[in-house]
Amino acid sequence: MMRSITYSLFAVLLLIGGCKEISPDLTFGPPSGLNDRVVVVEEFTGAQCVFCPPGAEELENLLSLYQDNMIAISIHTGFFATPIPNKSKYDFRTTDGDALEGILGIPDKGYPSAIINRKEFPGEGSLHSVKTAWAGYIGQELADEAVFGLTLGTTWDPGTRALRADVNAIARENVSGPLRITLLITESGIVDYQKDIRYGEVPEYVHKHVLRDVISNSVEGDVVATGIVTAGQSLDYAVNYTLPAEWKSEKCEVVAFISDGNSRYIYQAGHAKVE
Amino acid sequence: MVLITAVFLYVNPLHAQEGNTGRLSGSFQANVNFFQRDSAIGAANTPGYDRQLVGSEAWLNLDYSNWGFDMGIRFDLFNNTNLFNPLGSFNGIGIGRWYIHKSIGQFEVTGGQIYDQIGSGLIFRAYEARPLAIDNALYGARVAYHINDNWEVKAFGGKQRNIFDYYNPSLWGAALEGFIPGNEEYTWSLSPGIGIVQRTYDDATMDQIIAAIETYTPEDGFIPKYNTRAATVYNTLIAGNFTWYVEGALKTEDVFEDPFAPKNNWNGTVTQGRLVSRPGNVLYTSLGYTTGGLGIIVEGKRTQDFRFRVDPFVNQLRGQVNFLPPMARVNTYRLTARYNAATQEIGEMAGQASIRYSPNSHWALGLDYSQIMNLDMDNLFYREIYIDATWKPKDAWNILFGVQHQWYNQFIYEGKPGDLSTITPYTDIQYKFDDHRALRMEASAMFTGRVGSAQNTDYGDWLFGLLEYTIAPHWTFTVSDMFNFNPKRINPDTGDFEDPIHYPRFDVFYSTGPHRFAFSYVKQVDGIVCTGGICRYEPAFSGFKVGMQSNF
Repeated sequence: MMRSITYSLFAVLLLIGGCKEISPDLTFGPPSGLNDRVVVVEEFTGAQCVFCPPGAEELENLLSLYQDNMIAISIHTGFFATPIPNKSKYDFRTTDGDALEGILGIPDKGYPSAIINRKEFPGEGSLHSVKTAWAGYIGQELADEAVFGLTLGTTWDPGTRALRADVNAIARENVSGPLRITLLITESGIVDYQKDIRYGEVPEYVHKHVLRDVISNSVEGDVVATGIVTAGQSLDYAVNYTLPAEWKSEKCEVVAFISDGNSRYIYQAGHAKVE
Repeated sequence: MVLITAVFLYVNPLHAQEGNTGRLSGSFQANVNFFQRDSAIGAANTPGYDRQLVGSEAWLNLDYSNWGFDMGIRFDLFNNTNLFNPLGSFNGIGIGRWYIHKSIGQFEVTGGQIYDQIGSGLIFRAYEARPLAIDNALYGARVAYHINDNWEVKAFGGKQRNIFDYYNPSLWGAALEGFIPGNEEYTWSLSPGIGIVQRTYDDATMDQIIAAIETYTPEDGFIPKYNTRAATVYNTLIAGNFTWYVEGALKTEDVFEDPFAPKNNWNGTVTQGRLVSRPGNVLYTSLGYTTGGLGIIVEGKRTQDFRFRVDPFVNQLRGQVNFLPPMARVNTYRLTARYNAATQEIGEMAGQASIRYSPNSHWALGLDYSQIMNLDMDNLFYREIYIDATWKPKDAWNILFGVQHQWYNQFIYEGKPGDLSTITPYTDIQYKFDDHRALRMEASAMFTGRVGSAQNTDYGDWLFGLLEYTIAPHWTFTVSDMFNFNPKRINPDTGDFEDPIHYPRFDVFYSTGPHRFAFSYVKQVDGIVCTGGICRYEPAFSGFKVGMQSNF
């Protein structure tokens, strides 16, 4: 009896092992034929987050891959964002960054963590995803056509440091409101301390895409439409802002995106240099 | 689930406890944390400390047996809890588990959320570890057939639980386990088994994998497989005073994240960490020998690429299909348990030995040694030498003392560069005044960074003291302090080393019948916390903890 069962089980295992599956087709390499869809990646990071520099490197890799189809925003907030005592020159935390963490959720899968287009992808259980998943989610989002065309223009007065950002979004299909447009400013090229799992404390670390301020009235963006927006309808939005003196205007970038007022999903985005 | 609820509602209250027709039993556990912000110890900048102030968890478990059926349901409550993510907060209320089980002759069938394992768990283990928020029950069906008194074959299939949801990839498995009595005197016996588990990615998960690896350069790219199978063979041999367990497991090509794999990027940079597709293997063995007052256990484990997750994009303690036993001593004293060696799924060569010797009724001596290295055996991850002696001069006294030495690769286990060494002498003395009253005292000291080249000091040196007074059968009072008397961390205000910091703790435990209540004031340093060899990072805690546990 026993012998026959054992032989049967081995036979089953062998049969299973012999089953062949059809492998999926893959094409390695930079994506081609991308449309004008722009994906927003909000990375949650901090000067004391030792695993975040590898995440920042992956962001740069993805930016080189997707170029103008991707925007990175590094939000310094939470437990690891406190400056390194007596070493950090800057405190990158912002009221808006903290508020966004409260609204969008705390990284629940460890660091580095990022939110792609403020979308909860199947199986994630939250908006956040781990580093290895970012490329796939960005690719999935870029595979869809943009629901809006979005243009962003800036005017800059270096004397007064006055900045004006004008956004125009044109619906390409009917979209249900409410819709919000968010404008924010990031700064790159800031040299300051950063903890790194591989190198310890790095004094000359170059911080990029640091969220400086959400310049919309609301941190979630301002409502620009409440009902259904029909295809071809144009939405305009503008903000005047004075850039703080300590920010390097030539390193600053304005980011704009239009999102669903309820789910917060980002339909389309754009970015422009301050100068 | 509706059926189970209906059955519970139908149960006559007169039969709510053990009766002629059925048995209803259960348990209730609740924990409430009151967070008190204390930036000096790092208990800050989380939702609990910043705004929520209170977090709680509760589980109500009911099991009912009747008409040959066993069934159960568990209500879970998570209210601003930091259990799942110590730096975050989670809310959820619902049915955490339900199951129905029926024995039909030599068959057993089970449906619902099932806990089970194959062998020691190398290829499959569905279990719950509440302190670490692990509950990876299999949501599916299980059937077992008892061939005879000694042999059983079982098969199961389903999806892994993910809090109140489940992961999309599928799991199924089968195992044959038995017992072979060697002779009529039972002087030797075998308990062999074989098992197999298959995980199949669903289309959405595979699409996600493909989308990720299509962005890789060709040198890092690979063709992923939908199906990964793991098979294991195991046996326990008992012969005289010897017990020998051996288990070997293989895993076919599997997509998983290797955090150390170089990633060649399109912009010319090389970074670390990417998805890989590799087969894996584990070999685990333990040999025990006991005679008279002597007990010896020797264990060894070789692990290579045996990260086995239900989804390659989940990390930390989430989505684990299997369980790899730890190869380090499970310590319980506060300082000796401060640094723990979690299993390295990607690769480790580990061994440990434990000797216990009791020459007479007054003395017991112990020696433990653990060593964990990388697969090439040229990088030490962890080493521990643990010596203890217990002396019972009279019935009223129990005196334990010993010393522990650790070598701890903080980069591997915590992401902090460098190696740390510790030397920790400790003692535990208990005196029984009478049958009801007892006083216990623990004292230990930890000195860091003083051995060889392992000169990391982490937080520096520690003292720990505890007094515990028990009035049986109801009350236990403890007061303890963990004192960072020689701190090596930098103070953010002064730039010098931190001032010495006390981490006091006061506990009151009250037990009556099946109920146990706990009230604690806690200041706790951050560190790695382990349960059953599974570990995770726990940030510092400051505040009050209230707990209740009941069985009925």
